[in-house]
Amino acid sequence: MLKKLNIKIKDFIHLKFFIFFCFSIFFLQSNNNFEYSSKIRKNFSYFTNKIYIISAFPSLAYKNIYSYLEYKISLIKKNEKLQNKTLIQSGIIQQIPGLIEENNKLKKLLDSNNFYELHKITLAERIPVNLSTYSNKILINIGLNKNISLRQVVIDNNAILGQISEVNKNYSTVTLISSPDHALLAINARTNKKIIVHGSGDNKKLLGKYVPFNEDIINGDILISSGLDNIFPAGYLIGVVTKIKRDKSEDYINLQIKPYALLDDINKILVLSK
Amino acid sequence: MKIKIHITAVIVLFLTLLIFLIPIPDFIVNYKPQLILLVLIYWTLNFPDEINISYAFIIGALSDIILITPLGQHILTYISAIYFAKIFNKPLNNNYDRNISIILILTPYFISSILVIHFLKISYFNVIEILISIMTSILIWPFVHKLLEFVHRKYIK
Repeated sequence: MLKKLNIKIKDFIHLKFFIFFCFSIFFLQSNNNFEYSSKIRKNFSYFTNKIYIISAFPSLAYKNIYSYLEYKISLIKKNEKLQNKTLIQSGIIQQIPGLIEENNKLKKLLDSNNFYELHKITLAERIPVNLSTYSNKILINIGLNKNISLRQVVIDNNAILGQISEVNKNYSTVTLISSPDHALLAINARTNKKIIVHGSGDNKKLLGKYVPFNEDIINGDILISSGLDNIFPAGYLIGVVTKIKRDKSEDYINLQIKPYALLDDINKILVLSK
Repeated sequence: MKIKIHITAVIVLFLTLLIFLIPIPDFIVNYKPQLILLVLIYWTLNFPDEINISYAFIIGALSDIILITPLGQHILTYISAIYFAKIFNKPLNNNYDRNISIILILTPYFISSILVIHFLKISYFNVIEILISIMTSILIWPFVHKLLEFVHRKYIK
């Protein structure tokens, strides 16, 4: 059969393939928590940043042309909507000093420590490039130039998005909470019970694992960050329970959670720092 | 002539990488064709002496760096497909139509993808999504081939 297919061994191709194959297996095996890849990527960050800028150009150009050509009527409507939203939000903000006062009094009465902390917020924009399908990562346009550091938490206007997993000079990588490598400790806002929320790889759903079989949990329960993992600050929205799967053969309940953050449609984001 | 081939191949591969990064709607993102691999296969089938497995290694490493995947993921899948394309280059060119050849060349790509996912322990891994991505690559191949043939004729011959 080999004769019929006219196969010739030349140019050490088999040896080359074997060496490269061993290299790639070695890279994959030694790639503990992406540390190795991150180091290499950091060395190439100047070059890769230029590539991202060039690739993002068509999408940014489309966005700019679209906003330039947007009708005046729709802009007026949008503006009116945003003004109303700002007014409502400023109304809510006015209540904060009173709430802080009340909270402090209650804390003194209960003799408890601070649970929620205030964070400094840095605004960032997503670099519109299409990364690998299975990575659940996005790029943002700030890095060491804005004092961004590893494991800083990223949120959008709704809820927690993820955390910074790689920092370069002019850009950073954010691992979304939907990434299968990612997990965070949440609290059920109704019952105050802890739940480990895992990424599923799908941006539209998260998974709740290792929930005890007799746990009081219902569809529609809201999950917020617990702050116990020392990475995600307490009190931020994560998602809502949409499906509860009770399998009698297992000791745990499997939950399906819909994230509040729009993980599919990220544009502007906020980076929290202590 | 040889330098011309290398320069054209490098420029085309670089442009493909840029095109591959352009955002596409989320619902088709999992099924996008493996453009970079298709371009690599075209050059390997046409210039087996010039475009060798080292190209696959370098392009794979570059893809891993730019697409933020663990180092080795693209290297392994690309070298497997190009190795197959290279050792079966003559029989593929003589006995089969290019549209059939691509199916055979993408088979080791599929197998190595499964191997990579096994190494990375990706629990949500979906074989069907990879298969659909290969199907879209096969569907897009005639167009990629025609376009690259045009570039090939214009700048190399």
